Amino acid sequence: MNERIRDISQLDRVIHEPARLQILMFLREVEEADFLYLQREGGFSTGNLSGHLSKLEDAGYIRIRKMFKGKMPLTVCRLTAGGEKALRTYCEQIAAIVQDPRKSE
Amino acid sequence: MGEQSFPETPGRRAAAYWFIDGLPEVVAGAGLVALGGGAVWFHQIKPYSWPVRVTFLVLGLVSLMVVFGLNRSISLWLKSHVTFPRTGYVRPPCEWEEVAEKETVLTLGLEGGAPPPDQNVTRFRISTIGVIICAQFLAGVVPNPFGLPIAMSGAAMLLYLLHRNSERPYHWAAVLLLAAAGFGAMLLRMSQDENSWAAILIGGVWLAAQGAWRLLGYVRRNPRSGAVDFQRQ
Repeated sequence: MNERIRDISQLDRVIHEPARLQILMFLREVEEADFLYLQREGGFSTGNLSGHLSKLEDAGYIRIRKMFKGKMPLTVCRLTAGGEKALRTYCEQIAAIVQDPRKSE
Repeated sequence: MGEQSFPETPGRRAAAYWFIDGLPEVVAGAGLVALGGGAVWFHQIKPYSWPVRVTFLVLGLVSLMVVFGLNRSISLWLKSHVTFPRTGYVRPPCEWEEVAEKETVLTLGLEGGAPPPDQNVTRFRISTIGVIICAQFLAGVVPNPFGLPIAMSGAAMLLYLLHRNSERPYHWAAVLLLAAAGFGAMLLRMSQDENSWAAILIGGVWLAAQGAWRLLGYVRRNPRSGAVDFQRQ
């Protein structure tokens, strides 16, 4: 039991934040999405979303690129393979931590 | 149908996003109106001069291209000016070209369950435009004056059933209008040939009206805001 609780400290701190987890979970289910769409979906403020995207990009979990659709500049975000793997690992860790020990016995 | 009835999962929501502004319906509807309207007009004036006939032919070909080939490109261009500056851009999980290869497309909606999120555009082309094209054949086969009412009622019923679990369900009152238009057109006493093309015309007007209504609601709900962009912190 103690060991499982101790595993909480092993969680990826970049992902272990509701807004960043929300962004990653969202990007996992689409090919790509732009800044404005993510902002509306998650209900983030501009500065808040910018900060979280920067952290996720620095960790190599998402790729951000500037593109144009017609004359409209878009900042498009996409989950990287590393990001997908990190998210999967995080979900497995969380599942293992919250698993009821009585059920596994 | 408003934004509030959008599906719950992000993937499904992204797929439904293609229809949020009604632009694909407006574009496809306009193409069908040009095709059906041009053909009905051609049958009414029956032109003998070749330049006029060629003009009609070119109009028909351009309309077909708009409906089947350029629908996505034109919609995307319009979306880049209308939708993306308002509510952003998202690409659904899978591109429609890949989906078109899958045989599951043939069973869309018939199985009763929710379709996969990546079948938005393909589904629209097969089960909306396809149904209207089928109505054209039916209106040309069933003897006058019952061709149009039967074809449009059948199309209305199919559109309602095929789309009831899709990313873009049609309201029962909206499809009832389509069926009513078929009965209304019966009063115009058109020939069998005209009937057949009138089905496309009615379907196109109906589709464009659906899209325009949706577009109006979308623009009203989402006023164009100032540019929001990503800045490194």
